[in-house]
Amino acid sequence: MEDEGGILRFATRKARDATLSNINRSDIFDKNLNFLLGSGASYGLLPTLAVKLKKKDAGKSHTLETLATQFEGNRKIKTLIFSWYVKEVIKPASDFQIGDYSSLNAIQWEVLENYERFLKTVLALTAKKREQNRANIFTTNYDGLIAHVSERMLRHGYADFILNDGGSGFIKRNMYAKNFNRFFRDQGVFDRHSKSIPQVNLLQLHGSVYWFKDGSDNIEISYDLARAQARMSEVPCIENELFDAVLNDGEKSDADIESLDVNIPDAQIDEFWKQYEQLPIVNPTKWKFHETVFEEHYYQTLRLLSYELEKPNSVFVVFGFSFADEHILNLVKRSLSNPTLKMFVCCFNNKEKSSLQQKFEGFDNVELICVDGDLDFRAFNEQVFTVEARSDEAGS
Amino acid sequence: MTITIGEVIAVVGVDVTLRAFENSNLETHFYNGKRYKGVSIREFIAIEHGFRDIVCIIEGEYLDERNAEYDGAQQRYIRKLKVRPIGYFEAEDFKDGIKFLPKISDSARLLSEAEIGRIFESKSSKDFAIGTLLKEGIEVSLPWQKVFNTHFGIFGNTGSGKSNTLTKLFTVLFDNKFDEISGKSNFIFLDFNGEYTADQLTSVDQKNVIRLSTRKNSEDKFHLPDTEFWDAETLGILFQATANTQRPFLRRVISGRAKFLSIPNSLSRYIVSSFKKVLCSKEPKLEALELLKALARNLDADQSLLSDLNKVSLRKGKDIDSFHFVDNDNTWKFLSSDDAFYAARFGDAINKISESSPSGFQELLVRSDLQIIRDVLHGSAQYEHIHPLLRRIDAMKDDFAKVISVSSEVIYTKTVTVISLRDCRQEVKKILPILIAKHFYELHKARVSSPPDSTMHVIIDEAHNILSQQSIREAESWKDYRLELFEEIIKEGRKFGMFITLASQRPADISPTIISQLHNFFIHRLVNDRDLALLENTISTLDSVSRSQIPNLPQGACVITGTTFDIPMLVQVNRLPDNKKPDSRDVDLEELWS
Repeated sequence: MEDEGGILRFATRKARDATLSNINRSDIFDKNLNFLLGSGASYGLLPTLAVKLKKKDAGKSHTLETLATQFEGNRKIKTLIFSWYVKEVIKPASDFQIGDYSSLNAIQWEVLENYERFLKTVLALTAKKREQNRANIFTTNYDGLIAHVSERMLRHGYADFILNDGGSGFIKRNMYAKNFNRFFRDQGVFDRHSKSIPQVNLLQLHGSVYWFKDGSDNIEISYDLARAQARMSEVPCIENELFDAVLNDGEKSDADIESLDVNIPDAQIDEFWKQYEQLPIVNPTKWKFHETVFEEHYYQTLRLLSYELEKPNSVFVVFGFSFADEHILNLVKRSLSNPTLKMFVCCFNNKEKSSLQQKFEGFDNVELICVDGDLDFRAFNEQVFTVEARSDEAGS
Repeated sequence: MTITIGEVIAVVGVDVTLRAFENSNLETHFYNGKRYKGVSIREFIAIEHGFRDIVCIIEGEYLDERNAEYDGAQQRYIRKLKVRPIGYFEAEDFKDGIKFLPKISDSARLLSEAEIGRIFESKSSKDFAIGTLLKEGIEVSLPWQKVFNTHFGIFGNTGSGKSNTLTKLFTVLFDNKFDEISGKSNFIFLDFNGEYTADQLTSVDQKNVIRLSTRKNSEDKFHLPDTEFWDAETLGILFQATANTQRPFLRRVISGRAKFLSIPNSLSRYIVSSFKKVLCSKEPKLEALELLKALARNLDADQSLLSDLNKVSLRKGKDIDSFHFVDNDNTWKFLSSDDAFYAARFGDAINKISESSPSGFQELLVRSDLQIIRDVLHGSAQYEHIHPLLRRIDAMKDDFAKVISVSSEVIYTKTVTVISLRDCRQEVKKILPILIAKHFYELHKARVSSPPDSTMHVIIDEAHNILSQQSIREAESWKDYRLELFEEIIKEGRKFGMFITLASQRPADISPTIISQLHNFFIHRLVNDRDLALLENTISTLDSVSRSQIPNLPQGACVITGTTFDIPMLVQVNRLPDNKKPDSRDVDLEELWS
């Protein structure tokens, strides 16, 4: 008497599970909340590593990372690639000013709005906890958008919350990893009661354009925009129109780059690298910093990430990140041995889903999330990660 | 692979107390990617007891304030949980009932969603989901094989979602199994408010929809075969005949008709002879004369005959042995001795009116008139006792003629028949369902073999209309009869494969005999104390926790309990799509008054 029912059903369980592509607010609010935002979150406001140039045989597009790996041995081409990286990718991030409304178009505004929505959702979740109402946002973006948006929210009188970027000090703010364990409390008038203030820790794994080296072993955080801009303009980028044209041409492939005849004096190349290696931004080929002080901080942050993930009853939501950074991938995989950890990974589309499926094969506590259509930041905020009541939520 | 949340610290009788570990007050737990519901009232947990897991329901939790523990900066109290065993898992199967009790220091763990699903649904009940468990949010399938072969009732205040549940149950059934059902089973929906006449339950072309109306002459009528109509029981129901005098009278009418059925024109010959018997009688009776005039009127006699009959009278005095007729020239004719005059004056006219051959209710009226005339002549019946029945027949025959047609064509061939009584008068609404139920019951009983190879399901929405125990407006004897029939169906029907489904707002109004024979109950929100008390007395399977929730269930949520189900479950029934919803929705005033 197996399966006597008919074919028609109102909602078979399988179909329901397939469409269950949201993160249930009731499931996660009382857990230890951690987020990882990748470049997908800033997409639209700032350039990504993708270029139009195609791979020679595959027909897929290159990214700076694949190009740089391919031309590792060719010093001139490599220099051109990294010049382009500084010029086209890092510079816009350091030049970005949120106060400058007029220069933003609708798409860029939407990115900021989405950041704000995301932060509000995180804060709404933490507000439901009486104690330990905090969340950690890990990000590989070095654009400081979260800081900008939080500033704007506080200015507009949104709830009082603390954004903790790990800095302490006044005139000169230095970053110490231990600051991430520091929390604020509001004390009652006669010390009869006290209440924990919602806090979001911002941990920038791949550095930030607002970091500066301070002495030999400290990182200074300074949101002095002029200073960040000035530093970027000091990097002597090497312009080559031919190279730029090939890079932006979807018809061409890396074979065209090899055949380029570029002539750059060695002294210029040396000068570029000297400045480039000072930057507090991770190198997109080896995921390393050249400066030991940044490198050290990178490992500190990674350790913090693994520590948070291994706490009991943790939730880890990943958005806009494709786990290209092997350090992070391996560390997360190790932490997945914590059975009470639940990890939600948002996949931009089905193609990315299948690639992530391979990366996380055999881990029961990873849930890959897809929606109908592309899962961009807006879809994430509207359909996946929201505190709006959903009709399909159990109970009432 | 489990989340241990506490351990047993006391077992007193069937009350088990657990000490909860500190991590157990989360709303949900994740373990290896599976969701587990956290600990709260009415959740289920399992206590590991050797190779069996005892499933318990949480009935309370409290802090032991004397025992504080310090965990870092935070002060924690020991939480204690009171739980009650309800069954156990053995080799993946849930078994109901307290057979084992835990021991001190057994550890308690959370149940995964799959395990909770297994508590509520058996393996055989795939693909019959009508909703989700209210608290757990897990979809459950009902064991349809064991639901539809029982009598079940759906109760709840108005607006609590009864109709939706009723419709959903049958909609899912027809969606899944219509082809397998057809030809083997029939479903009769008695629809008092015309809620199921559109695309509900199943598409329009798959069901007979009979819209009965006493207001206008519609095409739709309920067909009763001739033999069934001319039946003392049926007529007794229709005209609420009393058992002692009126029912035998009807029986005489019917047996008389049956005796001469084979003779052509039997009725008209009967009319002619009756006239003659009365008018030319040697022992004239004025009562009979009056009745004769009524009969003539009922037969649509023309004016001349009626005025002639009015001229027939009886002189007072001794030894009077005949009616006399006062002619135009004031001559008196004595009818009993003046055959020639009778034939000339009345014969032709009477022959003429008797030629019309009435049928159905008209025929009944004529025959009853004739019968009472004969009875009066023979002195064998008390006219006063029969008279109210005749008046009732006269008064109601028109209404009934609009909704019942007496014919031998029976055309309820489709699996589903919806009979809408929306446009019927209150009186007809009360009587007709009984007739319909009786018709299908007799029909089914006659053709079913043993064990039943076909089934008949009668579904009565708003059942308090016809099954109510209290009705001051009707005679006691009639009420008894009305309930008796349904009580018989509900008591004996199961053996013949005849099942009744009731939906009602006032279970307390419905006869306790009927309620107590129902096997399964779908109980929506009920607030009236009498209703709740009744449920308490009649439903053995309803536990106190479930019962205490009945007065404040949300719309569409119901407690499902009964012989088919191991333990009562709280289910939120899914809403039907708009085109499938019964036409009983709430009014949207915002829209109406905008």
